[in-house]
This record gives sequence, structure tokens and C-alpha cells, in this order.
Amino acid sequence: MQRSKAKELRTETDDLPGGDGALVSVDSLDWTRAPAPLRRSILDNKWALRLLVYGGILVAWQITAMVKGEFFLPTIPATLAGIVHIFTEGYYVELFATLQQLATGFLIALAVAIPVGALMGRFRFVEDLLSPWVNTLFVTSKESLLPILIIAFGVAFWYRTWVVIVFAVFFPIINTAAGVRYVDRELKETARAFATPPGRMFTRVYLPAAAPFVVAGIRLGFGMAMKGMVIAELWVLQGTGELLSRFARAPRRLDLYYALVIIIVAFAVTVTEILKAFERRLRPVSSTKESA
Amino acid sequence: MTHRRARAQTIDRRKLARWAASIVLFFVLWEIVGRSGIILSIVPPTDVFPALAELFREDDLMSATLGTLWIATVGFLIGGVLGVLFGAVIGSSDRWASVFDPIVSGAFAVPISMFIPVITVYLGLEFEAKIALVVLFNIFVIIVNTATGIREVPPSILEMARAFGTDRRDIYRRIVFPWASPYIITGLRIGVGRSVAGAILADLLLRAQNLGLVIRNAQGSFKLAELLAAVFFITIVAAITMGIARLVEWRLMRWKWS
Repeated sequence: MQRSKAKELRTETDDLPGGDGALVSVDSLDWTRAPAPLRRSILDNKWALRLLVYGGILVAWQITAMVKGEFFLPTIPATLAGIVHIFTEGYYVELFATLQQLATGFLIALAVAIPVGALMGRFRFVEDLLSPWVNTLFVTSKESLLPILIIAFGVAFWYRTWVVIVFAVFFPIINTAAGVRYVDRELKETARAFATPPGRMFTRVYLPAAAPFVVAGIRLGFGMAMKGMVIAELWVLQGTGELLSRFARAPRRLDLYYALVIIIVAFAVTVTEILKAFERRLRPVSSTKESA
Repeated sequence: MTHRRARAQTIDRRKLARWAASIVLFFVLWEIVGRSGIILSIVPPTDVFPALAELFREDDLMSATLGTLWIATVGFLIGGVLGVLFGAVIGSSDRWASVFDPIVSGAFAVPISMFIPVITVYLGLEFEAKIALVVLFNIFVIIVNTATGIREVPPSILEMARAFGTDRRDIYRRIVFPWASPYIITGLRIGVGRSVAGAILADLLLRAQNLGLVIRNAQGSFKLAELLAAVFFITIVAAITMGIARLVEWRLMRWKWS
């Protein structure tokens, strides 16, 4: 039902701005206007359209690179070769060090955030005590905290790990708290009626019921962790951030720079998509519960 | 009715009391830890606040703040206009959504700041580069919210408008945008926060200026009290900006709740 409605909506508004006249949808349900000629365009296939647009971008990139030279933009073959160079010329050492710090910081952040979030969602007074700080730090720029962390921890492992924690911790806290707060009241009452001990309430009732929220929080927190990591390293010029900044300065190696960007993007998108898939698998459980 | 309202008020009062307690507790703890000197980098608030006053007098903190907020404002206006237009295109057309959705959702997952080095290659370290960074920071959330809002317009209403012969421009002006406006305004509100964060980062990592320069100076000279004062001040500025944005959002959306 919901789905068919969404589809209907899309087709209704399909040919509004951005689409020029030629792009009238084939399965248009629009009977109020003069019937458009049913032009079955190759552009109705989304993969064909994607191929066209992405291909166009790549061609434009390649031509710009060839005209302006490698100091402005590396060619596509040079960039792809750059990905190989990152691994053959030993730059991957920095990448792995960065990854290790990212993982450490992120796991610590989750280990703190999920229990804190669960307590905030469960107990009003915990929420009231912590929410001014969580909400303020959540929305304001955490970048400005970096100098304090530098002075406290230097510029090595623990500094970068702490930056990751500070960046990553808030999304999972807020999402877990929201998830636990909205756990089905009947579910809670049933569990209490069976005299479930408080600790077990968290592990068997609150957290599983809040799981889709928690995983969404983990996904968003992971994005923040990567952001924090890159900013931390750009600031003190260490690790992958140092590479990014070095490749853009003299001697300029934009092929390696873009190769590194592609690697980072691929990593970020892969992890995000895995967590999204995980979220989708968790969702149906809670929706069957609602409809039952 | 009155009974319920009275109860709501006492609950609110309890919440406020807890907030106040939490804030007082934080400063007391900060003072104790700072005085004890267990953690070297933490200076007690009784040293930090005089340093903050000093910053206001000597480093002209006000004009530094306005400088950073100016970059945020220009970037926000550009990102807001482009983001809403682009989001409207994606939200209205299945085709463009299928092409650009992967790019926009990818941009959400990716650390934008990794483009700072290449921004300096193409745009230098000055104003243009900073604006570009701010726009990259704020535009994607605005695009996504606008597109989502426009997809939420119920088809039955559009159908009815067409049945009455409303032309496309009016459909957009009178139906689509008003219907999507809560989403768009929320996107813009989040964009305000992103813009301020982007501007602070730009003032730190591109040419050090304004608030970024204040922090850099305090960090460079190892004046801990000054540094903590600057960080505290920036956090407050960002929080106030977000508070104002939230208030504006609430004002603009009041017609919907009443």
C-alpha cells in the first residue's frame, strides 16, 4: 500500500523541473493534461541514464585533465595507477595506522555511547542531567576542541583516538536514547510482569527493541568518526591526513591525492552500506511487532 | 485541564532544576580538577573566565566572531539556494533522483574535510576557498531534506490541483513548496550548524583568520587559560547560533501547529 502510493507520487511529479519536455514518463498516470506521446526513451532505464551522466562526468574529467595538465587534474588512467602506487610505494602503512586508530576510537566511543544512551532513554533524571551537554556538543563544532586534545595527548595515537571518540560518540548516544525511550509500552510491561531483572531488561528488552535506532546511530557515528579522523590528521599533519596534504603541495602529486580520496570514499561508502543493510534487516522485526 | 497543565509545569520545573544542577556540577568538577592539577591541560574556570575577558579586550574577539560568522553566512546563502534548487529537482524527478541519489548519499558518508588540500590547489587559501568549504559542508543536508519534503507531497492533492486546472508554476508555489517547507526549513536549520562548523574549520585550516587565528595563537603560545577560554567561547557562539536557527524554524512553522 505504502509502496504503491510512493510510486504513484513519483510518477505524478516526475516531469516537473529538471526534466525537459522530452522526458515525459512512459507510465505517466497524468490524465488531466493532453496525453503525451508515449515516447519510450532509452533514458527511462535508470542504469542507462546513470551510465550517460557518470560517463559524461568521467569524459569531462579526462578532457579537462588532458587540456590542463597533471598539475591541475590527473588523467583517469593516472589516478587508477595512483591507487596501485599507494599500495606498492608503501603509503598503505599510513592508511593502516589511520584505520587502526579509527577502529580503536570508534569502538571506545560505542562502548561508552550505547550504555549511556540506554540509561538516558530509560531514566528521566539521567537524561535531564546529561542532555544539556550532549545536545550542545552534538550541534556545535567539535573541531575547536582539537587544540585541547593536542595539548593533553600530544599528536600521536591517543590524540587521534580521542578525536575520533569526541566526534563519534554523540550520534549513537542520541539514537540509542531515542530508541529506548520509544520502546513499546506493552512490551515493557509484559517483561516487568514476568519480573525481569533490571540488567536483563536492558540486554533482552530495551536494546533489542531499539536495535534499528542503535544501528542507525552507529552508522551516523561512523561517518562522524571518519570526519574527525581526517580533520585530526590534517591539523597535525600526520598519517593519511599528512599524505593528503603533501600530495596537494610541492612536489604536487594529484594522481596520488585523488587515488587516496577514492580509497577513502570506497571505504566509507562500503562500511556505511553494510550498516544500512544491517539496519534494513533489523527493521522488519520491529514492524511485525507493531502490526501484531 | 488546569490540573494537567499544573503537572506539566512542575515536571518542566524539575527538568530545569536538573539542567541547572548539571551545569553547576560541571563547573564545580572542572574547578576541582583544574585546581588539583591532575590533568595538566585543564585550567580551572576561575582562571579561564578572566582570560576570556582578556581576549575580548586585547584580541578583539567580537570582530573575530563576526568575521567567522560572515563566512558562514555567505556560504549558507549560496549553499541554501543551490541546495534547495537541486533538492527540488531530485525530489520531483525519479530520473534525476536515480542519478544523483547515490552521489548525495555518498557525500553524506564521506569526510568532506579531505577535500581541503585540493580546495587550496584550485581556490587558494582565501575567501573563495573558505566559501567553497562551507558550501560543501552545508549543501548535502539541505539537498536531502528538500528532496524528501517534495516526495512527501500527497499525490491526491496534486491530482486535485490539476483537476482544477492549476498550472505548474502555481502547483509549485502554492502546494509543493508549502507542503515541503517543514522539511526544507529543517534542512536549512541543520545547514546553519554545518555552515558555522565549516567556517570555523576554514578559519583554522585554510588561511588562519578570525576565530581560527585566536585558537591558533592561544595554542601556539601555550596559554592554556586563553585556549580554553577561546574554545569555550566558540562553543557558546555555535550553540547560540543554533538556538537562534531553531527559534526561527519554530516561528516559521508555527502556522502548522496552531
